Amino acid sequence: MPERYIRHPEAGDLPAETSVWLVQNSGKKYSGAVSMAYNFEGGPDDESLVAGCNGKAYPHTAIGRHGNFLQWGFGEPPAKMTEDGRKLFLNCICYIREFAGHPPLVRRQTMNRRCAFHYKAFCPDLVKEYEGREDELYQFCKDNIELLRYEQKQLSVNTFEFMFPIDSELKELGIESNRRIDTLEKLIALLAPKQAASQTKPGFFGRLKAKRTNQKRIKTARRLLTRYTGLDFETHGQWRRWLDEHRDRLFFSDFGGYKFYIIPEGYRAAPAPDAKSEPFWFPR
Amino acid sequence: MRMTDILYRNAWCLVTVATLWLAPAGVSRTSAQKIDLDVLYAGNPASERTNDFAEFLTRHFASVETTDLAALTEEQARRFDVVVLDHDARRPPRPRFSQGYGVPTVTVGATGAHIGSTNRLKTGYL
Repeated sequence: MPERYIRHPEAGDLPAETSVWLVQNSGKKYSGAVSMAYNFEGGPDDESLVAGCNGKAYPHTAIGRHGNFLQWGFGEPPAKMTEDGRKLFLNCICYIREFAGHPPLVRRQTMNRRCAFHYKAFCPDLVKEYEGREDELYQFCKDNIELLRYEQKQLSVNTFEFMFPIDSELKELGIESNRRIDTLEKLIALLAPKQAASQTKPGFFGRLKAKRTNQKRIKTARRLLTRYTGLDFETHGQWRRWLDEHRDRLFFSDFGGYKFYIIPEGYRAAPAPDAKSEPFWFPR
Repeated sequence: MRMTDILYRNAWCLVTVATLWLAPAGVSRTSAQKIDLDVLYAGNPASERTNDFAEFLTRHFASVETTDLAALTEEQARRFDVVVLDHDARRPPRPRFSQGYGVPTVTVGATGAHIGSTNRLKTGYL
């Protein structure tokens, strides 16, 4: 097992030795390229098909698909592929043929939230709060991974800094995730007129306070809905109709800017991941 | 659990599963036992690498053409079933495709990763 794999923070309990399948005889330690496994986020347009032995970390992707693009990460020409490698290369060509007319649904805008752990790019306020207690900071962010977002600050034309803060507005509303459909349900429910009535308190000042609190919640809910959908409807009814119409075709993408997207009719979507399963490369 | 998770966890059966999973469904072979696809290989036309790929692909596919990756256009790519993008230069050409480009495309090695990054794909460089 490459030492870099074992030393990597995401390594987990890797065995000292493992069997590998040889695709090419390059005569070099590594020849080719891998893509970041986190980018393959279980979206309808992506599949991480085969991990590749690489100089970075297990289990980055040697063969992966994004829409109609299939990356064959191995760098050697057929003469230097093994016989099995040549067969798999042919199969990859045939496989991608099935995705004619199905381009990627999202393009890179931001990084997957798992990169927060990879790059240790946590919110500066949290880093300060947990100074000297890195394990606790790591655990806190892991516990709140469902609420992480991405922020980027351009420092110059070619340089920028990024971080993954926790969405405190969602957290204050008692919502546990920014990428589940039921989050949209909860936010839209906050816009409903009946919400105001249910929170009415007795007395003039009580009613005034309840009204103000409710207005604030409505404003926050609208801002969050726009943040995570890119849309800006005026009324509860409009949001409701939009969600009812697209619920079955919605998916969330970190890679595509921490937003919900709609799968077009007729799009050949990859199978959805089991929501309860945690990818085995989850940061440890 | 996703299929990919299962694959990763069972590396020893990766080949078998991948070979079956990626089996060329819907793709037939011609009487000469070639796969009935028109393939375009776009690479460095003056290189031995291009000859190697072209010879290999010609052995297996019904129709294979080669072209210069630096001169590849979407219009040209649309005439083929699958396009293979490759190059042997340290700083290879990186064609940029429109968002609606839907031709099945295989990108190879580091050149492919550069093309993935240029086109803001998940298959881009780490």
